[in-house]
Amino acid sequence: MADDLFTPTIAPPPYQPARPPWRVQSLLYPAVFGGPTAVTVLAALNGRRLGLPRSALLTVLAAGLAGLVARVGVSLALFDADSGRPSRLIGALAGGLVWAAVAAVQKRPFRAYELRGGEPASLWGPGIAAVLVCGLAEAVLIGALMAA
Amino acid sequence: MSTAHDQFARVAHLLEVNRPEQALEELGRLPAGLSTEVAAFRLRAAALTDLDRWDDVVAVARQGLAEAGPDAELLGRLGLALRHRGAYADAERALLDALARTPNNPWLLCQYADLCTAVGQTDKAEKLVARAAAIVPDLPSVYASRFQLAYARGDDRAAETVAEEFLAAWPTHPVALALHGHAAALRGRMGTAHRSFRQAVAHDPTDADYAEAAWESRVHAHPLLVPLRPLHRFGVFRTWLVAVAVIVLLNLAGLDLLAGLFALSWFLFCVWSWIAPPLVRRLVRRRWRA
Repeated sequence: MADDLFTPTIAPPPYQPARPPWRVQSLLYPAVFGGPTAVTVLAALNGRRLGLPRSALLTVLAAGLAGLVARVGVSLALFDADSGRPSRLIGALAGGLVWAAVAAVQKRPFRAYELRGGEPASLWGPGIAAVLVCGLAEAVLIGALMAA
Repeated sequence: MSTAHDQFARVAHLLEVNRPEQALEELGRLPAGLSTEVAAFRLRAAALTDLDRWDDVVAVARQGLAEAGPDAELLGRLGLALRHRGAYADAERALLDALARTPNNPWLLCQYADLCTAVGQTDKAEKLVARAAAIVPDLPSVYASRFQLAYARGDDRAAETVAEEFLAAWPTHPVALALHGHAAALRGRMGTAHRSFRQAVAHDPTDADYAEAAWESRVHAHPLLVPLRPLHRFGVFRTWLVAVAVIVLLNLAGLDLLAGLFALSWFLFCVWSWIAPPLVRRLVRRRWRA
């Protein structure tokens, strides 16, 4: 019986990623608390852990860059250096939107990983580190641009 | 001959009532002549499958194929076990060999569909499930494969619909109950999820996954996590967008104090949603162990 469905389509993978990926849903938290850079860095690493192609990585990086530019642009256009709170809200919003793009790219591969019996890695350490380092870096960047 | 038939029928019945360990004991007592029959290998592989002992399933299926010759069911078991061990290309070869012998076996079609779903080939999986469904639409494997496919595609609503259809067709099937629980949990209905998982455990007390899921859904029923229910029900991202919109609107309306208070409570809620579930999990586990 000649049948397209019964032709093999699964090749053995060239390599196994060494570390398990993070849950894509969990990346929303560093996105909201840390901003676009934090979620972009984590999502780029997660894409590699999921074994995603280069195009998926580029989508994540493009979304992250757009989110960062939007955050800085809106912060500079709307707010003077009087208070940090609205600026942080813009950062959370930009991070959340970048996360939505990340979820669109990584949700399905992560669920396939789950169906293969894979367990997600803990995001606690990397998540808090990304929030502190990247969040601070963005705040410094915006502060410097406002001062200039 | 009739005694051999009776013995195999007894083992098959033990498997039907979810007693795989007893089935294995029974198979161990078979006389030497019977234990190398293809039916004995099939039943042994089925019992080991129920126990999730994948390495043993591979060994038994291979031994059976070597001693009794090519057999579609044993090849299917081999494919299923190899998939669980992560050998996807080998699993595909075994399943295609099985399907070459019985191309219209719906269970084999579903096994191949599950394999394609697990490696991300969802379009091919959909065609395979459709073919299986055209043969036996209400086979439990067909529902389970449709559920996995919807889940892998990220379509939680479709997964919930499949789970409801499955449960309507097989109201006491443990897999139907467990998938119904998973679907309810995905859509944030923790009470329904807990009820379904508990029923699944009642119908199949040997399955560790159902027990774990029932325990996990019990954690979500903890009083400390009650404030988080709307979050699961409505979706994290959507809830968050609404909260941000409220803060921005209050700011624009000039109600700065109110906006600040709302923002602060929202921030605390976010932190709580992050910290509380692992905390409660640890609390409940400690209490159970104490």
